[in-house]
Amino acid sequence: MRGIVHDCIVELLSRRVIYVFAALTVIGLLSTLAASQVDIAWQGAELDMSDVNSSLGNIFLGGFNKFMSFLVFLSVMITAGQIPGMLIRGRADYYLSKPISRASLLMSKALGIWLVYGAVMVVSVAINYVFACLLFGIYDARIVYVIAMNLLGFVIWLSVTTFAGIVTGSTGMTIMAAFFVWIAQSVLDWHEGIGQLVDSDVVRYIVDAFYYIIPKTGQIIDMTGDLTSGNSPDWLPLWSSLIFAAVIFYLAVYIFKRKDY
Amino acid sequence: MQSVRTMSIIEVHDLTKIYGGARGKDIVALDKVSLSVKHGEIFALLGPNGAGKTTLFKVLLSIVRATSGTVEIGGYPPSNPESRRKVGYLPENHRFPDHLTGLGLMRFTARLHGLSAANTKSRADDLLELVGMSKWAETRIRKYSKGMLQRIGLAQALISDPDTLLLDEPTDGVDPVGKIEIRRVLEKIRSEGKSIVLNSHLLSEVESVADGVAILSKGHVLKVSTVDELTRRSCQYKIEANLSGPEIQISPDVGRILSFTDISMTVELEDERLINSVIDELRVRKIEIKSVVPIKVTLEQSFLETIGDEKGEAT
Repeated sequence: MRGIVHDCIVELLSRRVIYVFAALTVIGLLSTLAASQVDIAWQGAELDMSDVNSSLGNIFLGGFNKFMSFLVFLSVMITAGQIPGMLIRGRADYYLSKPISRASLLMSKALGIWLVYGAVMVVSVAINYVFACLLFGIYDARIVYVIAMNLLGFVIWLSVTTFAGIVTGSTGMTIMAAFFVWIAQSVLDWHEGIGQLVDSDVVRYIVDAFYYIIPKTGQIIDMTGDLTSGNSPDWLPLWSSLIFAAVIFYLAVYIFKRKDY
Repeated sequence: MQSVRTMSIIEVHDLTKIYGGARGKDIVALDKVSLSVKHGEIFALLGPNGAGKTTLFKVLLSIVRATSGTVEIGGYPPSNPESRRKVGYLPENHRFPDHLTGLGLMRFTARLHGLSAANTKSRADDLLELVGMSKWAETRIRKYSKGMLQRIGLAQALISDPDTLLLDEPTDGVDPVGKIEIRRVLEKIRSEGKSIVLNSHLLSEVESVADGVAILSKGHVLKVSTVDELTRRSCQYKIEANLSGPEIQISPDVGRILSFTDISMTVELEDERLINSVIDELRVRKIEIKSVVPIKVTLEQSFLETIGDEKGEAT
């Protein structure tokens, strides 16, 4: 397992993808720096610094939530080719001829991708956040929610791309599958509205069923907003998505163990 | 109890592999194949394209699953990852992770075999030296030529100090000097008591290194034999002697004379053991015998005859 994780790090460094993350980190830092130059006219109002810091904290946490969601999206696109790439003709023979079970191989690869790209995302966000803290004096532990929830979101996407990668063996098809899930979840976000538009109970039932089955990473991002602003979130999107991820990953392992290469 | 030397490292019994083809048309890649490879033996799989040689390798390594039959490698079924612990494999048309350097590939392969990089450092260096790749150890694999890829492929197959090596077209794309070097490496590996199973279209190469041979065609094993048996023209001998005296006759029960000159004769016998009768006859006539040599054919001729026989039977 360590070998595969180590290989993920070596591959990340060699493919120079890390520079994309570094560039985004720099852009984030520059944006934060630019924000610090904005003068706020308070028009004679009495300043309560704790209110100002709290407001700034919420704004920045919201911003970092969006920033990290974008990094997750980027990582999904970048890592979509990792599993199919491992199983192309000639390379599959190399990996599968080693004394590792297929289940371990797939889990190690997925874990390696999650750890490596997760770490890069966390570092990227953390650098920006520390910089913002130094500039604005907003130290807020709720950034941990943002990081944790987005890493869970990445787990869910990774299970989708792993499954699609095993079934199709194609990077392009894997990216398309991820897009399909993203479109499906965006549409199903409106499942209540769709239910009101149609007359049929059967259609309503099917739409609702799909809503509960398909992962809801968009709603997980909204949940993070609730968590950081102190509101009590609806946990259904998280646990239903994690169940979906577990089932689909199990299916990926099951198919992988039975496939000829 | 059998000694380790004579025990089989690979046992294949009634192995069948059927691939599901398009429109429900199944493709029989292997049909009731049975063979065994002994410890310390170089065993070659010969056959035209599509004979099932690579599929047999893939079944041994659990890259494809057998439809029926039993397979054991190192005493384990292929479904057990332990069966691959002491096996080195050089795939045909391999595509190693190309973000790695040659040395990186060696270390990564060692880790996949559960070995620590520290313990295999000197072995990796030795193997790179052995296959003539030390100079290119720090170069990315994506920059290697086909011949260099074969060399590094052979080196990675050896990193775990395997008991068994499975090499699929090991000299494919390698220049003539490289081929000789690879042959030398194979002989060195055999001298260490390791078993090698070899897929190769280059029959002259196989003839020079292999002990045992299996000829496959369309998923069937046509013949399993030693190289010596396959290349010996059965019951034909060339006898060099002073034959300038009266003409020699041999009984039709013993065999027949194919050619005769003052200095040599070629005979074809009913049975190999009857060569002693011919020698006795010559000695009775006080003919001085210089040599008795069994007539051999090349492996290529023997292979073509075997494949030709099968085609003849099919038509």
